[in-house]
Amino acid sequence: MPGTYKLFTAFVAFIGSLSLVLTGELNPFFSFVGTGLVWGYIRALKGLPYLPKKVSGGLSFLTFMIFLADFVMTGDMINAVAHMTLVFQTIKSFDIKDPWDPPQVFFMSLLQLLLASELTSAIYFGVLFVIFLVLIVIAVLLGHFVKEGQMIFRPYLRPIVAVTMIILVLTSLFFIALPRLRSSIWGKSYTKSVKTAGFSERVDFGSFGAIKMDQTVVIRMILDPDIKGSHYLRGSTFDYFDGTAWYDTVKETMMVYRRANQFQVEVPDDLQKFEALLFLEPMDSDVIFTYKMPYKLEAQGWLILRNNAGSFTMKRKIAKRFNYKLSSVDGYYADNTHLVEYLQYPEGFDSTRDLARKVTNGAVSDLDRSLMIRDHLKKNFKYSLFSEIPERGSNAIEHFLFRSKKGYCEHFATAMAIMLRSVGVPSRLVTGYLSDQRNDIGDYYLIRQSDAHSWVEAYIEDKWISFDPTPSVPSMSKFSLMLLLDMINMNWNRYVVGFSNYDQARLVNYFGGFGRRPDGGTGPAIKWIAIPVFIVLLGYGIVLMVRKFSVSNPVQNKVTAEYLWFRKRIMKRGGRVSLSSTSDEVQIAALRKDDMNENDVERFISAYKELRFSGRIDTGLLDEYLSISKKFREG
Amino acid sequence: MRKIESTKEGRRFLLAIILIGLAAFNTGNNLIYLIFAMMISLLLVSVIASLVNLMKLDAHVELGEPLFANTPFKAAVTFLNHKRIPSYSISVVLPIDVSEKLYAPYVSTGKTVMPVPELSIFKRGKYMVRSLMLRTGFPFIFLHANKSMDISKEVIVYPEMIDVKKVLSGIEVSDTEREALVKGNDGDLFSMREYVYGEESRSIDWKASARTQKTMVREYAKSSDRLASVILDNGTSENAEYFERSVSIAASLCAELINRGYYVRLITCKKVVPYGNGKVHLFKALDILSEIKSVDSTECILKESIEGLSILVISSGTSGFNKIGHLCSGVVDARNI
Repeated sequence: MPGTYKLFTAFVAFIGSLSLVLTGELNPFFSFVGTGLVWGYIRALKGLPYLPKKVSGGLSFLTFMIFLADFVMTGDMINAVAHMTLVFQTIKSFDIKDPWDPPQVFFMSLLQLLLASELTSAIYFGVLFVIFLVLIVIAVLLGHFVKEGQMIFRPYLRPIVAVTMIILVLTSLFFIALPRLRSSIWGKSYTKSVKTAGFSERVDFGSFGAIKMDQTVVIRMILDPDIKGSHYLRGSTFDYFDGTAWYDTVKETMMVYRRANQFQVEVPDDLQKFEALLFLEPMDSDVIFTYKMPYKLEAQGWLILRNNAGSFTMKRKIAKRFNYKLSSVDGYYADNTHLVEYLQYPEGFDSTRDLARKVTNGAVSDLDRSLMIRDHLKKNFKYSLFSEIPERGSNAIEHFLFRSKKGYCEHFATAMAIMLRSVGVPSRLVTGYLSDQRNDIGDYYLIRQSDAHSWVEAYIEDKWISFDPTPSVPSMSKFSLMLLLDMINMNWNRYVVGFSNYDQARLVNYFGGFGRRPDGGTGPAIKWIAIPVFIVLLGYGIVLMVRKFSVSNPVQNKVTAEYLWFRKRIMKRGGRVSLSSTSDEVQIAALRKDDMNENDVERFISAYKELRFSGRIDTGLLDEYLSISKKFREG
Repeated sequence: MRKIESTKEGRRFLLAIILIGLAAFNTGNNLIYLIFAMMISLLLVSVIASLVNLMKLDAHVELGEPLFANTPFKAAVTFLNHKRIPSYSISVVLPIDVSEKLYAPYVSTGKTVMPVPELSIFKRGKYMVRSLMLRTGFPFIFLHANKSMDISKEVIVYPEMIDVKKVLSGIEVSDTEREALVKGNDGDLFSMREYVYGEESRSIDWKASARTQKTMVREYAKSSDRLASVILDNGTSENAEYFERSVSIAASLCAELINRGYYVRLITCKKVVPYGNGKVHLFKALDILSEIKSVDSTECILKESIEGLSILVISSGTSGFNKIGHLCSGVVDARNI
């Protein structure tokens, strides 16, 4: 077996195993064993002895037994198979001797890639996939030539490059066009979801602190118009506080009216409108985060619910990426139900009430009171993720207000909500995200776990107005390289991992006449694609027709006419020639059936091919051709 | 023959495509869809590229005649590629079992003469080669595309020629016959006639030819000294290998005896080639032997009288011709050679 073929087999095996190891889901022992294939293939390339058949057979049997034990103990079939393939690849690398061994390695690597696709959706998989595709095409091509007995591959470089390029393009087209369902039919997904805090029905006081150090990206958002600055993404609202935790007791949810994958919730007024495209990473929450006050939500057909506080949730949690488009206005929620609940005041907060009254002394309206409390908290308290832990049994909010005077968003927002309620202003805690980190390379906003935030909404003059009492904290700038990688990651998730039947429908609509035109206008887009395609096809058709029926070259017509006469003569004399016979077949029939001179026939056919297909007319050859033809006619 | 045939690897690959397609559809995992898309692309390119590879491609095969079984001969394969792109990995498949594969890794546009190694055909016989097939698996290993080309040609593969000098030397012959074996044809002149293509040039009478302005040959009176009969026992043979060997021996004896100047007669069950000499006569006998088969021994009755040198070639001990063994100058048993 040629060394080049072995080398490409080694590459394919290495990529297959690497795709599994990089998922980080495998047992390190098996990953370590998997690295043995590097040694195995180096030995094979050096031509060192192969593993004895009994040893490789014994090791394979042992691996299978370990696989069974692994599966029985862990109950995780995917991991168990992944471990087994790693070991098999290593064993095979020491035993790669026959031409039919590499196809086994290719199939094994394909299986490894398949397993990796279930264990991860990170972008490295995409990189490895493209490398794998190129390598497998080359390897199988080489395999073909090896099977045919060829050992030198240099002359085949061109077809290898051409075939690889064609397969890359076709793979992309098939990926887009293959029919797919909205969700899985059977079996669970291995996708790991991000563990969030603050978006369930109960939020324990202090739970935000644990995630404020986590830099994991949870949402990416594209805004139009893109107004630079800090942006709030509203998640859940909470109305009841018992001193240690917030609860959402407003249970009145309604299904949002759905039409053609759009959830139209309110008719927009003449306020400024925004469009936000949000890409949620898999989360353990069912909350749909909103930018400003949405009136339309466009998403793949999940059932969406809205409660009377204006918060949106999915009907059921999905541990998958979720993309949606929001149309919003810079307005206010105006629901006036349950205002009594929003005045609920926990016991043991007398000092807080006294402080609120003192701070709002002299205020003439609820808006004044709200602003005075917010400003008091902003000016007199410090932001810190490392707040002092209150003594056991003591009140955490009052500890923050009167002792530590340091805390993070939960402390500030809870304190303000309680203080507002103590002076008769209905208020609620809102949890969500606050981010000002813009990826200038990709023109979108990055929202991380550390951007989890809480603020307050107060019901003032028939509308819910937002107040953020937390002092602003400058965010850390990120390196350009990190932003570039994140942009690639976002596009990977958006266009590959998150590609759905909804995207397919949008593509069909776009090309079918309902999408946006390339010039930015609305109306049928089909003509922008169809007209150029039609022109190209028409042009090609005309060229073909002209070529086929061209009468412009009298010399070629003469050449063809002589040949056709010759063929007709052979047919008349019983030669096995049909209208579709090639000139070679005519030649054979002429030599077999006719009494023509063998040399004349060969010269005549050879001259015909040259004059008819070479694209040039050699006058000497033409004369010879016509003279032979004349001889045939006379003879 | 189907235009597209799948290989073992191709069938496995197809099964894998179906399973991965189901997995993709079931899980909705786009990364599995990606792998699925790649596999469909590989298969599609495999089908299209192999068909395009054979499109507008013609081949012409010339086999160097005469052909003898298991005897190397030279062949010439010429491709005519009318496409604008070259073709790769083309096999020319003949409907005859030949020793070497006719394979061209690269066929450029236009006319290409393919270098062909020396070939040999394993089995004698008359083959009506109605078509030859161009086959390619390019670019992968999943399938073969075939293209049949009508050539309608008869190919005769004569029996394998072996050295029978030792066999002849071991046969008991009479003194006269022994003399004839040494001296050759020197009997009485019988007549003069016009030369027939294929006859020995030494039998031409140049003086007579000059006189008559025609190529004339001397014909000698039939003498038992120069007559030889090769009797092939093609009654039902117990063993096909022995039978093939007996046919080879008979053919080789004919050739050797004609070479030594004998008028040779070939007798087989049902078919007889009368006495004759020269190359044309030899190939008449070889024509019969190229397609001879073993027949029911009960139908084999020797009607011809045995005269001159007669050699019986047998391949089994049960045929009807065995009874005349004692009348022959020698018996050659293919089982012992």
